Amino acid sequence: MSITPPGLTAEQKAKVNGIGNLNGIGQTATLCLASGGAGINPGQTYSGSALRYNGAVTSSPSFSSTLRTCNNGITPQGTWRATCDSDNGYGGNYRAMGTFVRID
Amino acid sequence: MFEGKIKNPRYNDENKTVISFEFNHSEFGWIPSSLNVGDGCEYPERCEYIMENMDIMPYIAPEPVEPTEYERKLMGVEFQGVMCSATKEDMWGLASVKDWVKSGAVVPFKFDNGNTLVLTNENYEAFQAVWIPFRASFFQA
Repeated sequence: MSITPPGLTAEQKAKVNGIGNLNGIGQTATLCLASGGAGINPGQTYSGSALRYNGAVTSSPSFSSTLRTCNNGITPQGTWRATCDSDNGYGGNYRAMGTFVRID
Repeated sequence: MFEGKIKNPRYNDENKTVISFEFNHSEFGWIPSSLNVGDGCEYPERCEYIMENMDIMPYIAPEPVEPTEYERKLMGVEFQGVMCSATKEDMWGLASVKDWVKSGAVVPFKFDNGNTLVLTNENYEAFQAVWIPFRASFFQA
């Protein structure tokens, strides 16, 4: 099954390959900012180069509850719109993370 | 094809594997975008246009960011695989459970940075030997 949003150019349609495509237009992803200090504003567009695929890991609860995000994730291509609001008042060594949808 | 639709291309890393630029989108106007260089480019026509027709600005490395004192306290020191923060709240909390732990109680101590370390009479002295010098390092001239 292929989902193709209306109004796309032929070039963009080539990038829309359905739900299973990690990088397709219309896909959502959990990403963090590539640099620290800034927050993520809902609705704002970001270059893929300013983002990194991200997630979090935690150790066994019986050992500790340490939670760490995954550093140095892959850089997505294209343009992504934030669908989250992540304030960052913690300084330059903290990178905001949230959900995004690819628009181009 | 892309004349007037792409501006300000710049390499995004020192290895020149990614190009950042602005793209004039038919629906969204000028939006920030980026593409990988070479075979991994998702829009080969755009990559080809940029590489063959535009001057690509050099990569600018980000300025290194020094953590603040509070950030370094919150980052903590590692003990038994747990990063143990060393804020004043941690200090007060540890002082309040010390006698309890020394009497044999097992205490899952939650630090100010959200991490938890299980303190026991067996690991308490070793923990103190690591944590106290780290905490004290913030108060040395």
